[in-house]
Amino acid sequence: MKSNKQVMKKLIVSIFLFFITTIIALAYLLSIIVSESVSYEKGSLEYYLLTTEIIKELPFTELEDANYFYSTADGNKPVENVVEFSTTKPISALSEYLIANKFKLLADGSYENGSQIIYIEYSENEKKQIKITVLEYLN
Amino acid sequence: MTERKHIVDALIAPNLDRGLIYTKKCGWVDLGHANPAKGASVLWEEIKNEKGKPSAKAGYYRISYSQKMGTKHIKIGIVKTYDLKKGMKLEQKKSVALSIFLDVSKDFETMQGNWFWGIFTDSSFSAEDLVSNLIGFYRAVEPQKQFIQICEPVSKKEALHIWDTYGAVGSNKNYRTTPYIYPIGESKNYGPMSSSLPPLLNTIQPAKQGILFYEVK
Repeated sequence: MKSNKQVMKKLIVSIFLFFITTIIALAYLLSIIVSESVSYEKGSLEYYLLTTEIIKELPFTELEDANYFYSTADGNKPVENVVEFSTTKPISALSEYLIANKFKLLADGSYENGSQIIYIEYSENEKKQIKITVLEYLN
Repeated sequence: MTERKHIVDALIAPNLDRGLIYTKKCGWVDLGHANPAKGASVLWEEIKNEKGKPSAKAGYYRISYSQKMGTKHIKIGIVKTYDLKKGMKLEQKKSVALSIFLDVSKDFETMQGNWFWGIFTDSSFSAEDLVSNLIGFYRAVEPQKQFIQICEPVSKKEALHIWDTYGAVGSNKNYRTTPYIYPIGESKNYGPMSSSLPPLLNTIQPAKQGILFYEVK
């Protein structure tokens, strides 16, 4: 039977390890949240922490292989979320998705909904390269 | 603070609201900071049209202005509240708006560089931050003027050369709204020089706190 002293020692070590792990996790979380350049893939921790909902729910199966990018808001500069992928689906699917999500088409071809502005760039090939940039203002 | 890969060409710069350019008159300009949308524009519209909330003091109205970093869900930043006198002249409103904009900008940059946040980011007072913010403010207040062109942006090739020769924008700190100018196409016999902004970016003088406005603490 373990003595009280041994149990106490184990408890202190466990609390210490928990404390250190929490500090490291928090430090990592804060470092990526205020980072001006984070690249990541779908399914990563960064994907769940940094990707805006309008990108997460895009109606394209090709997003499994997409490249994602994040840049923090910085004063009056907005948060920037970017996703790049290729698809054979018509670009109209994207417009329909944004309109269904209450985005309005602006004169320059971008879309706006409240604090978010979305820019779409794409190649005209059969397999289109699409780049979607979402700017979100935090004010 | 931005990175080398964010440098864009002068030809498309006036139409972009993100990216980094180098200009002959204003030094490095971060187009994200220089974009007035939903930041400086909102502040200016509030002050121009006296849209704020009622103040406790008669003859004044109250506004808040903030600058933040982070994401939609986790935000860290500076929020300040001011009482402004009703019925100011347009020029007085511009001066007050600039004063509030710079006050919050400087406090935000200071917060970014404090003992805690300085561990996670070196963006505080990056060389182009305050100058770009100021350009964004002028674009909000005087949208008919082409302030990016007034700054005379250079080609992407020249901007990349300056970056490669003199280092990243974040490596130089700038605590004022005067730009750092680098020599272009000349022998590298001097480094960045602090310079004045073009006169059109110096037409509004920030008001001092007092009768026209004051911070509510």
